[in-house]
Amino acid sequence: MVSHMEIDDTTAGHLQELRRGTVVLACLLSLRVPDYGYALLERLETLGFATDAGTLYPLLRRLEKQGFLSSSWNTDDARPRKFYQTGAAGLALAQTLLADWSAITESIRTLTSGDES
Amino acid sequence: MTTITDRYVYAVGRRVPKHQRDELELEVRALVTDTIEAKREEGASDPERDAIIQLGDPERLAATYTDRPLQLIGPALFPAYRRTMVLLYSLVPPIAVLVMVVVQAFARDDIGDIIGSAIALAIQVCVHVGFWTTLVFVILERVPREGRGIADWTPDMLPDPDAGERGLDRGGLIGGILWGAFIIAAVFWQQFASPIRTATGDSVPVLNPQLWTFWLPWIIVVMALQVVFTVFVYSQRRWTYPLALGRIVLDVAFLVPVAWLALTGGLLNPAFFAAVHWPQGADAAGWLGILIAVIALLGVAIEIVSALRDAAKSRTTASVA
Repeated sequence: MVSHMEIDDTTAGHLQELRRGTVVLACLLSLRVPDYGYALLERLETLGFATDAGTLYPLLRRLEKQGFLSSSWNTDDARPRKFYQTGAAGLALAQTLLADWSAITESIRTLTSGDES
Repeated sequence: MTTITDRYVYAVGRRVPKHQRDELELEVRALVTDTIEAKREEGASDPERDAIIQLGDPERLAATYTDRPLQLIGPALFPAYRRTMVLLYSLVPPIAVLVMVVVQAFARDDIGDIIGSAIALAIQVCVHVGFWTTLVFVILERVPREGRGIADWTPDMLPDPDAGERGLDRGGLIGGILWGAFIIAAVFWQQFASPIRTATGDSVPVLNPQLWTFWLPWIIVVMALQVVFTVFVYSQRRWTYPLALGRIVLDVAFLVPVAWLALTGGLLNPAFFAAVHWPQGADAAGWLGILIAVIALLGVAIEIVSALRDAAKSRTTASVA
């Protein structure tokens, strides 16, 4: 009874769910070099992270509020842009997240290795 | 000339607290212009408009910036909200209406007035219960919460499947049979063995003897059916919607004629009033008829509600089992 379209939508939804939490880590790692919102958005999209401007901008702001990012307005260009950079706390958070990432990879590998034997 | 970008930035800005506004407006403006730039590179015919459409409802964007809830009552509070509403709606309006009807019945109001004001009161009470309960939860949703929420769920709240599985318990069976038997016996007893006597010592029936042409036999038949029906429901072990319908039909067949006869003054025997020296004679006994009618109609209302509730409950437990 389930059509192909529905399967695709469902799969896409699960993929999006799987990737959602990774955007924070991607931001923290990417912003070790200062950048402004839209350039970061395009870079993340090129790398395949599913996000959009309406989500990413508030996320950057939240991370700044939590002290993981620092920001400064760059007025050199024709129009002012807010540049973000990962601070010391942000780098520490990135390390924690990466460690967890490895742990998850290991756990998944344990689960999948059973299939191969 | 105000651009669509200006209007969008303004629309977002007015949704956030003043102290954040200036900085946030700058940021949103940068976001919009960057998005426009991207749309232009894609070759859009109206990049500004496309960009705004992509960024979406300014109120939602403002909410994501400020971490404000976009729902009236969120998932954390909704179960408690729903439980509170069900509890209040099943208690407050019926009690309010019942109290009012009883008070007005003794004030000898016209039955039409009583029904009218009962409906008006029921609507008012429902609106108030709904509004104020919702308002309290909407405020709670917007107050920072620490630890566990209010009205927490506990295991004691779990429904008991066994209680709902049996449609009618033994008490309900005995009660139903006794009730039918009692009504039938009372109808005969008041006719042939009434303790009320005239001055000459003759027995005076309480109910109007003219009703023997149709209504009293009708009531006897309905009550006999009620007894049979009660036994049948008990044998089925659980309520269903068809059974609930049968229960309602039998209740209506008994109580609505009683209410109607009481209202039109044909239920009670005029000689009975004379025999007991009713203060103002049979005419002034109108409020007694109203009281009987109100009790009968309330009985119908309560029976309809509980018949449907029992059926719904039984259905839920059946689907779980």
